[in-house]
Amino acid sequence: MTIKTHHTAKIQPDNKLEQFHLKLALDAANLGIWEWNLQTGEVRWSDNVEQIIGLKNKFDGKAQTYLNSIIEEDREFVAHTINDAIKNKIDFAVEHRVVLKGDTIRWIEGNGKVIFNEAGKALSLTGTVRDITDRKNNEAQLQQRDLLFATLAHVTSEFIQHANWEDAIFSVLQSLGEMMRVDRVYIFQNDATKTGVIETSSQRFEWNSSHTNPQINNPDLQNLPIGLFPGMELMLKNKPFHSLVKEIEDKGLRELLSSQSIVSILIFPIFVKQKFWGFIGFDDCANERNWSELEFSVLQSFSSSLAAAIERKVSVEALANSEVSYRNLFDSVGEAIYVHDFNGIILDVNQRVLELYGYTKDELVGQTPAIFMAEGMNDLEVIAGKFQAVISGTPQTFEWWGKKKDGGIFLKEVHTNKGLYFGKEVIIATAWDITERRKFETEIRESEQRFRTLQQASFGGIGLHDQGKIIDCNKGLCDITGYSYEELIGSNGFNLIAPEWQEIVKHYVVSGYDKPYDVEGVRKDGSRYFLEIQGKEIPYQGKNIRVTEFRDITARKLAEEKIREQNIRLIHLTEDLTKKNDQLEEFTQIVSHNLRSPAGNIVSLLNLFEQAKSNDEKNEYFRLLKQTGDTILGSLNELNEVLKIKQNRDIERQHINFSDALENVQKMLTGKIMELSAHITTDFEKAPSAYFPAIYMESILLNLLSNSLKYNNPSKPLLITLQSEETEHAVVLHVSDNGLGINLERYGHQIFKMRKTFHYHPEARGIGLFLVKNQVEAMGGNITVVSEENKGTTFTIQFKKPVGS
Amino acid sequence: MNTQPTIALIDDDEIFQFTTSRIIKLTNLPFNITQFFNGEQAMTYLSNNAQQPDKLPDIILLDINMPVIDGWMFLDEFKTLAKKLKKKITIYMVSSSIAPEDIRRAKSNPFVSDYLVKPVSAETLRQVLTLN
Repeated sequence: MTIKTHHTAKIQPDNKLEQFHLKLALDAANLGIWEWNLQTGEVRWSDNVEQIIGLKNKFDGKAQTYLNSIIEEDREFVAHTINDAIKNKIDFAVEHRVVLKGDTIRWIEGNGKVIFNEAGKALSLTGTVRDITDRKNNEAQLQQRDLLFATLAHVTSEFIQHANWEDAIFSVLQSLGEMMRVDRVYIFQNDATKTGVIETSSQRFEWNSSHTNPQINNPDLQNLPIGLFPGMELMLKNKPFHSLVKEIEDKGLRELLSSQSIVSILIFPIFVKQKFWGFIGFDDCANERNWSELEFSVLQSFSSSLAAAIERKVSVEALANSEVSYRNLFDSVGEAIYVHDFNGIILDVNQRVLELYGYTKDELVGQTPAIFMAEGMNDLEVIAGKFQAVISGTPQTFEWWGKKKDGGIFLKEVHTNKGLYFGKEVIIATAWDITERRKFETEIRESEQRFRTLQQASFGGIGLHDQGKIIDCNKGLCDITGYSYEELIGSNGFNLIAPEWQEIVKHYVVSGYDKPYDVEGVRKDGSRYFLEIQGKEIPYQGKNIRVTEFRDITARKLAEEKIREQNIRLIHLTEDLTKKNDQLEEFTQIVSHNLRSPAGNIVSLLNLFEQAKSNDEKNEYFRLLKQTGDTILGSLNELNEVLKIKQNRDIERQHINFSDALENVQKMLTGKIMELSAHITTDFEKAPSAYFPAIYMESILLNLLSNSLKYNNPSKPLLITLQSEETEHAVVLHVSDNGLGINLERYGHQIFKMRKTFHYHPEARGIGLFLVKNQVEAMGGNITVVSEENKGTTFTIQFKKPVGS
Repeated sequence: MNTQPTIALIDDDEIFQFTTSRIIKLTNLPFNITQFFNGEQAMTYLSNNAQQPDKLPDIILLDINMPVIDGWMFLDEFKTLAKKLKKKITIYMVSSSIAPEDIRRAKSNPFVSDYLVKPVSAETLRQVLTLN
């Protein structure tokens, strides 16, 4: 090595040997020496200085150039240190960085001394430079390593101190963030899915340096599809991912991260119980980071710690949950449950036990079953044997008379088995109060016994069936149906019913009908019989079935039939007698009114005749007597006519055309019709004729028409309408007029009676309608009337159709 | 002023009217006779003179069998009219009917004093007239 002198300024050693030794020393120490003339600003240095500070062959000897080679941040500090040394006449030492070409940063250690003259004025600076880059880097690494380990220790202790890792997480994330000198640390947890396949992930926790905005409340970071996250393939394999954002291939993701000013990203997956749980991420928003191996391994270790902490919490929660649920289950079951150790000591009981015996749990735990035993009612030797059997692994069931705290005694059925209770082998006993069941069973047995006795004693047939299928029956049912007991049991009960009745019976069975009803039954031999059925739903051996009673009612049915027939005959007879009676009454009336009355007059007249004093008087009585005689004769003739009608029921009938009959009648009444200008309209199209005696038909039409003519309403032209129609059993004729009409409310009961008149008409004799009615009724028809005063009258006659027409 | 009692005959049988009037006259009892030939005629008269006692009859002989308003209907209407009448009127039902039903029906009517069967003898009439 030679000491170069730039321009003239070069250090001149005193002799060659000295110079040689110095060079060796400088090289060995990688030390450059220099001298700075403060008067001229010129610098002289050994030639290795240029290499150290990266100004090889470029240095112009100016102190300022050297200062410029120092990186900006350190420059002022260096200048200040030197000035300070000059001013205070002290030595100085300074460490600073220089930028080599290729942007390489190098650490330089400078030591200097100020040279003064006698006057104390600083003349020059002289000193050494040394490249300390390697030492510096090692120091930084050591510091970082210390920090990493300190942080890891902190984090681990945090996790250990907090049962719930979530309580420690903020402090942990902060430590990690500061340690890693990043801007954001965050934890994403994968969202639970029903299928267990991970689809989305949401941010759960976050730490931020003061330089960035928190993203914890950013809704975009919830339920993100995991495909969106960078490095997911690596993470699913439990491997970390790191990248500079600018190098991320996915453009969308790159832009998303850039928009959050993220420059470097590092993500560690978290696996809990071998399952991908989520991940922890680190964002650096300032620097392009190259993460060291050490950082990776420490973070790897951290994520394992975190996973362990999460796992612990999950397990603790699961255990707590399962304990609570088992306790709830334990207490909520309806059966009493006891946990005994192998000595019989009660370790635990459930709520039901407390209700059953009336003790509190504290009173029972630690005791033996003797506390709730009814004295003298249990065979303790047998039960002890059962316990031994259970301990050797055979479940046992036995009955136990228990005693409540209040002294009440009841019977239980106990089932015992070996089980585990908090890791300890125990005897678990479950018990039911069977007092009621016992009572019920006894009652059922007795009731069934009674039922069976009753069934067999019954005269009717009784069958128990389930939707028709016969479960049981008595002998009565065998007797009625002709089947044997064996044939009936299991057979379809509906087959005992005549086919046409089966649907009805099925309907009643399904609807639960419980009143008696009559159907027809079929016996085994196919013969039929009248059957009364009555069914009722009953519970039987734990299900609802139907008990049905069969009663053979053939005899009753036949008797009923006979009674009905006789009833009908009696009704006909009564009707006949009533009719005859009515006729007799009618005749009595006719006789009394129409014959007795004039006869009475004759008696009176004869009495007067006898007492008459003059011939004139006698002649007068005689005239009246003759008149009365004529009246009697007239009445007798009319009566005779009626009698003829009544007797002559076999008078010849024929098909009479209404129009022909009407024509004859009209001829007879021509004078009256013309006088009144009566208008007669007919409509016989629907039924042109009736099967009736010709003379009756004419008599009827004559009477009805002359009535209409007689009782016409003088204030309006008379209109008579005749209309016929046909019904199932009769030809019907309506004869209507618009005449005076009759007050039927008043006279309705008399209108067809003899000698009844309802108008003060000189020609009213009260015989016409009486005859008409008799003629119609003698032929099996009938006549009715509808009328309203001053509106008119309509007579309706039903002519019976000939039989077989 | 006419102080003689009045008997009213309500019957459509002219011969009965004639013979009865004659018999009453032959009794020489002091009776005025009023004749009505149907129920409606009699009812109209009674209604019109309900407030004048001297125009109302003391006795009515009422036939059953008459056109338009027969004896039964007359009795029905008389029931309403009776409250307005200023005079008590004794009614005898007179009929040729000997049907027990008619007799029972007449006798059960509170306005009917008795049921007389035609022919009515002079003796019966005398009793009826003197009874009042």
